[in-house]
Amino acid sequence: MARANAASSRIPFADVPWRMLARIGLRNLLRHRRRNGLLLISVVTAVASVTFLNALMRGVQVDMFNSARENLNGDWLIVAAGYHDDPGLQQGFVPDPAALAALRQREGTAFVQRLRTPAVILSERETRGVELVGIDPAEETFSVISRVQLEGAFPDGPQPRGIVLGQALADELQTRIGKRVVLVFRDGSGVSHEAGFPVTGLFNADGTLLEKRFAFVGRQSMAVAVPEGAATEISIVVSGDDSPLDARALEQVFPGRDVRSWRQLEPQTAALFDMLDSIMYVWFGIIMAALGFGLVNALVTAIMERRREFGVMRCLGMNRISVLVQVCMESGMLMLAGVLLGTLFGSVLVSMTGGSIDLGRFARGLDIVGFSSQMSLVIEHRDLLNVGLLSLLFGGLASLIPALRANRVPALKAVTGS
Amino acid sequence: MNTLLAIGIRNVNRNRRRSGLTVAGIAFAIWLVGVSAALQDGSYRLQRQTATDLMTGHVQLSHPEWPARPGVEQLISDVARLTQRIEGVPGIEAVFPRMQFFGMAAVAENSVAVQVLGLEFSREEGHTTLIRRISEGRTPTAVDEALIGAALARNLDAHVGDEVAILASDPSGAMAAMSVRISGLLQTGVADLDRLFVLVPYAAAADSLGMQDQAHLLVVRGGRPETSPDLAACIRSEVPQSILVRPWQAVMPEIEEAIELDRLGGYPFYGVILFLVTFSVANTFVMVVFERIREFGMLRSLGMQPLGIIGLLQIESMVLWLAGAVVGLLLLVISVSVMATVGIPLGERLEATLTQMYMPTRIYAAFSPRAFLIAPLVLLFTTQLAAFLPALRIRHIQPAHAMRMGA
Repeated sequence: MARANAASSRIPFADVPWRMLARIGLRNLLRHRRRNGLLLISVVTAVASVTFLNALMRGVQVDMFNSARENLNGDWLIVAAGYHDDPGLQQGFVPDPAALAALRQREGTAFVQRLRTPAVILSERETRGVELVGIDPAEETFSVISRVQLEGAFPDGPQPRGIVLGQALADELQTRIGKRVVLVFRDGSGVSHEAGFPVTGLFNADGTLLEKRFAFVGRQSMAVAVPEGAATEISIVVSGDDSPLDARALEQVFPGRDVRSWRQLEPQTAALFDMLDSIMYVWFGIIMAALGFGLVNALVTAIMERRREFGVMRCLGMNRISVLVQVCMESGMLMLAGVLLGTLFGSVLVSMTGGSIDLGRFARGLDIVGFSSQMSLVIEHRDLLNVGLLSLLFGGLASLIPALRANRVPALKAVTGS
Repeated sequence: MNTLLAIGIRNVNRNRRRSGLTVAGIAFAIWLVGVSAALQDGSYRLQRQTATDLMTGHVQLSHPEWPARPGVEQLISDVARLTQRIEGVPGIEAVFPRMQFFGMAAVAENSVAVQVLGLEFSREEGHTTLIRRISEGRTPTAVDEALIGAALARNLDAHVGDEVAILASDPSGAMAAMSVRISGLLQTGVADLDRLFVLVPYAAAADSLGMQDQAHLLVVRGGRPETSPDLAACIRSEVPQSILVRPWQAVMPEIEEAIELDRLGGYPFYGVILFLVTFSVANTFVMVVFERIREFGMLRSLGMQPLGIIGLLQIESMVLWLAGAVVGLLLLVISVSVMATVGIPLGERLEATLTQMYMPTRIYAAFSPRAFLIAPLVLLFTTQLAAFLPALRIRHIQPAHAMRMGA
């Protein structure tokens, strides 16, 4: 017995009657339904708004990532050294078959080879600059080419000499399917080359940036003065996180080539992507600060009201730690209920949007920053967990001030009300 | 009324900790919403200024068909007389003609599609930031010199001092040619401009297309970007109806759309903050009514009407709001003053990108009316409501019963 007492005096929480305190806490919360109801609504609103905003931020990140990846970059883009400074067919190279075979064998890895060069495109009426991309349409399963709305068809098979233009570019050129355009570009030996292409298709992407930037032809039809099987780029995507690729591994597989990730190819997008992570935490901090004033206020008042009750409990043998636990437990229960309901409410709000918000009214404004007018909302479980845990932690911290206050009340004074 | 006000202030003072926390909540919301709105408005001002200063100007005059089909044949005539008339409009700072058409630039074996911009370098120097973004070389001083995009120079394998041949169609459809020497390279940070633009003297462009006293655009600068629609309206009354007059908001509607989207996106954020603080105030008054039920019973037994007691609580709520608003607005003025002069850095990575684009690397706050009005006015209404709803219980108080409750 003496040993047990000694042990309990060493372990601060050993004597805490947890079940009884939980019962008392629940009873106290229900005793002031109006006040605690208002607090609960505040917590639910705070957590729901954070859940919704996080879903929006994650959605924007997913859209940005997909868009950066699908803009012909992939997760990794391999080009000849110097291609980014002086792009063109003269930078074409024939990939090592063994390297391609190694890529093919990797699980969850897909790649595609393309030819790409800056070109001048002339219609009967207008002239524009464009990035001319030679593709194998059947291979393009992960780039923007696979998901654009297409009127007409990509040049392939028996009709290899055709071109697919973006709708916005076709409008500027005042051309349409069936008309011919002339392309001027430097061939593999650096000599200016002119070729006529019938327009076989028009693509409609989410915004006009891609529609004005790219024109697609069959890879073979622009392989002028380049070696058989040459490409100017290899775009690689890796699905899943099981076997991530890194630049060093790719540089070993493709020695002497320029290997860049989508983050290096689109640094502005990558910077914005990372900034959104910070925004989520800043927003959480702001919301919790706004919530904190009401929470601390209500808890302090509740403590002051119950001075006598705490005094009686202390006189009956409850130790200071138990009083502290009692106050924190009540706040924790309230926060837990708020977090659960808020998460549920926020998730319901997100699901009510159907996974995206139509911002078609602002399509032009979004287009200049490269965003789609359909803004996705994505709930990630780790965000829900983080918000839940941080909210509970915050609730615990907010209740510490009133709890310490309750702890300092001398038992006798509290009972006598002096 | 004076007595009620005195009692109200005394009651607020009675529980200083609770009143202090409520006032702090109101002040925090006013400060936070105000700072956010001031930063938003500051960034909008910057966006508008950057967009109009780069090359668009505040108002553009063109052929009515130009926006839909900006072809080389869409010209406005009598440019000298038009310029003179527009310069007579109050508030006009400068008017300059522009030629703008697509063509093909060639250096040795290399040829690339380009957009040719013909402008008067000396007149636009102080107004158009595009021509100041020179990474190498200098502004053209002779009629046969040109600035070209740095990326375009790379694609053409051309350097400062090299000669560039430009081929384009004239308004009749015949081929027009121009030969210019590169005096400098443009580095705007905007990939499309750096890859596409050739800036030549207006006279050289007009001459190559065989035009006299004609232009594709007349660009006008005057006043602030926000007042451009008014300026456009004034200009419209001075020029023939056959000429299209557009403020920059019509030339670049996407900028205003992006601003509008951001502004609208801010309101839910403000709403949640104000909602949380309002609930905190409501909670305070729920507690006040609960705690002082005996006092209210006594006031009722002394003959005070429920409406009078409710009025007393409304005054207390007003005192709390006033204290919060004064503290919040004071903090707001100090914060916005600092942020308007020093600015807020945007982080190393974004700064590097913005520096490349010759854009400011800090956000500066703006002293806008909405930053100082939204939160105080919304909270004035909601705090009154937050006090009024719990106070309604007072109508049902039985004086004798209430006096026993607190005993």
